[in-house]
Amino acid sequence: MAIPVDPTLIREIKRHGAFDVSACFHCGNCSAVCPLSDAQGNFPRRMIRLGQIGDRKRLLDAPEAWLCYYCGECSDTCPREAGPGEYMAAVRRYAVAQAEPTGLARVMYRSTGALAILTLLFAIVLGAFLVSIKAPAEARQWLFRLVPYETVHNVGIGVGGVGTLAMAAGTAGALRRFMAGAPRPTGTAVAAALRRTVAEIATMKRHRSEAASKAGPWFANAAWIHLAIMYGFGGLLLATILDFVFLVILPLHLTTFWPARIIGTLSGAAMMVCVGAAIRRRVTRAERSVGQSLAADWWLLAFLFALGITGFWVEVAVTLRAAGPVQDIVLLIHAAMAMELVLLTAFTKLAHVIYRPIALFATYLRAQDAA
Amino acid sequence: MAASTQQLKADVLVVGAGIAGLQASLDLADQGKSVVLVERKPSIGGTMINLSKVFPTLDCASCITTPRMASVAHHANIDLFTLSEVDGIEKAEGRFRATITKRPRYIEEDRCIGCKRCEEACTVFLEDDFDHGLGAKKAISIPFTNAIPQYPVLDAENCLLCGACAKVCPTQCINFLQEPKQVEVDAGAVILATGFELTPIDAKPQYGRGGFPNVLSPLQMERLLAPHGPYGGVMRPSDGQTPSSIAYVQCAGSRDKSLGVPYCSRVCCMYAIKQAMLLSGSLPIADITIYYMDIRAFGKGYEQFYQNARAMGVEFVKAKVARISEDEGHNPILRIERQEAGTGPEEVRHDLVVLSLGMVPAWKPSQGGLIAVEADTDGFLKSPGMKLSPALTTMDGVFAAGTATGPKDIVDAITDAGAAAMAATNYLARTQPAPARHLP
Repeated sequence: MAIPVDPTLIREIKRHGAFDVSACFHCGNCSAVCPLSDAQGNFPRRMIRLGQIGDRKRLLDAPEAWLCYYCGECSDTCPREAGPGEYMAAVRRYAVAQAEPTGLARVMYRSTGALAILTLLFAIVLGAFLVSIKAPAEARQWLFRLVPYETVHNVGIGVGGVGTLAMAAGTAGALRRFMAGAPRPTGTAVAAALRRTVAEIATMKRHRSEAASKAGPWFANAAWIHLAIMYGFGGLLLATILDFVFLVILPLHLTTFWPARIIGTLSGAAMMVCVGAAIRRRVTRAERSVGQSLAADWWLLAFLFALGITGFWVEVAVTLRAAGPVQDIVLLIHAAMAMELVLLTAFTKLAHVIYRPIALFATYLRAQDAA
Repeated sequence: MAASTQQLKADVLVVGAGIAGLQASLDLADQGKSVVLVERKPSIGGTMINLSKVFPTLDCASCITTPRMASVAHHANIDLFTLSEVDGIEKAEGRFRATITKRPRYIEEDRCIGCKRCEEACTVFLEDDFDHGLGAKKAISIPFTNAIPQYPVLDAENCLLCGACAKVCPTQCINFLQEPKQVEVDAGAVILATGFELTPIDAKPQYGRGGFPNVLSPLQMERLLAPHGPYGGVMRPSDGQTPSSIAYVQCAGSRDKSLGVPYCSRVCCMYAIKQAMLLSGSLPIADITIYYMDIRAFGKGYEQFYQNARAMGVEFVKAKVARISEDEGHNPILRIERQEAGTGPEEVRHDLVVLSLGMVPAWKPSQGGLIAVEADTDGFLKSPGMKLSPALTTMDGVFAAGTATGPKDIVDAITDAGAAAMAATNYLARTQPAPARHLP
């Protein structure tokens, strides 16, 4: 099969954060030193090769970029300091940008200014939209004078729907790409691969095995921080759904001590602490892998942190029955940001919550086919 | 102190008596120039005398180095100082004033006859630095068989002061109270032939930090291959077994920015190929594998030498070794990506592994002391006239020879030494119209 050489691809990937990758001379140190690289997923050198010759299709069809958790071992030991780990991160950003048709992600990854402006714009539009839907005066309650309670929920459903659609499109596209050329799998193979994927996501065993060599307390360990943020995020999602379901089905007034809210509070706390730990690692540049943060990396952490702060503010206000314009504005910001995060999932760094599980699933499935 | 300070006047001061320093000294002395040659080790000969054979001719290193060493030692125009350190060189009015400390051997050199009785009588065994820790030596010993000068050195730090050596010495030349001596040299020019060291074997954490007994430095392998080596043959240090599978890890100490050694050390490909050939000769059934990034066979006859090694059955695998570990039997395990196979990374077990370590400067201008010449970005001496005047340094009248300016093989080091000698005589002709006569 003829492979068309395209020198523009590597330039395009470099603009997504792989600044030094041209120094690579393919000694193969990175792939051999990588704790996760194996016969099923041989990276990063092969990925760099695909980028350098410009084989866009094979690069994007490969799930390998998402199998990397970026421990930085390859970059630390690279004889050319070509940053293979940074390259893998750049390929992930490039893949996210290529998978969505609007071009929004591409603009946001390549320009910090555009990222800031678009984020603000989205927040303002969402906020204005929320404020513009006024409920009848008698329906306005304490703390919901700016934005009615129902509005938040109804708009939330809409936003959730749009976000879910975008994520579903991303999922379908990724599955199609990662499974391209593979024979049709059997049901048992799919079930087995699914089991392995769920087990890996739930425990992050690969991530922890990779970070195991690094000494230090849990809050300095990338794998534990990541695991806790994921569970915190998942817990908040669960709490929101439960909250909503109970509110719709049972017209109850939910106090802070309602089980769903306790889950939410604990998850929120876990997420805040670990996002704080992650920010600390990036600020202190604890490892090479967090030493070259892009605006897109800061964006997600800052977003989660701001969501956490505003969320707890509202939580405290509810518990203390505190009222006032400040509380109203905080609630508005919190609601707008949460919706923006859901809307933009498929366009930002958060997209890895779709692509990484699918890449794992495809890799496990292909490994079974091969066996 | 001033009373005991020896004063010397010479045309040229040569620092370092490796093959480049020896060659430069001989080239100068043969032209009638007076030379003071200073070596910090107890014997002259440098790294070359430590080798088994040399590429691409496979000449015996001892056989071709020893005559040069002897010529220098016996030359009427060369004053040789071994076990001596140049503390500093100052330039004044176009001439150079050097202060040298001659460390004590604890024997009277003018009475010693080199009979080795003291070495036989000594009861203290130490790691032999000439064999890079693979063999043993006595606390008073001649550094190695063909060392020049043939005087023993007493290791004062490990000596028990039992007096056994003094009792058997037929000339009563052992002097436990010997003090360092100061020497001052007034020279018309200086040649720096300060040489190189290997990149430290523990520099790369992924390669076991020197903690694996069967992972050797290339100079250790030279000693195993040498006819008068520590074991009398090639054996594994951990258990004395004859290895049946030996691997070379190329670029283990060069071309690696993460080690701070981004440059190519030039000789490692060739010495690895040479050792592989010698191993094929001494262990005909052993498998020899060289893991490389690319083979750099740059000199006359070198490419043919490489092709011969391939034809002899040495296996060349294009892969950079990423990690070395060992199993419970101390068998080194290399982790590589075999790129030509297109599969995932794999782990390969060998009986013995040699790290092809690179060259770093033995004396860096940045560490100060010797003389205020400038360093290049690679840490070696700066060559301001790198292309057309390779012997120049950044100080007028100070010239460089051999690996002081960067990695070189023996051929290039010797050519370089000749160039430095010629540049020094030209400088003398320009600055010292009447050649200074040698003062004893």
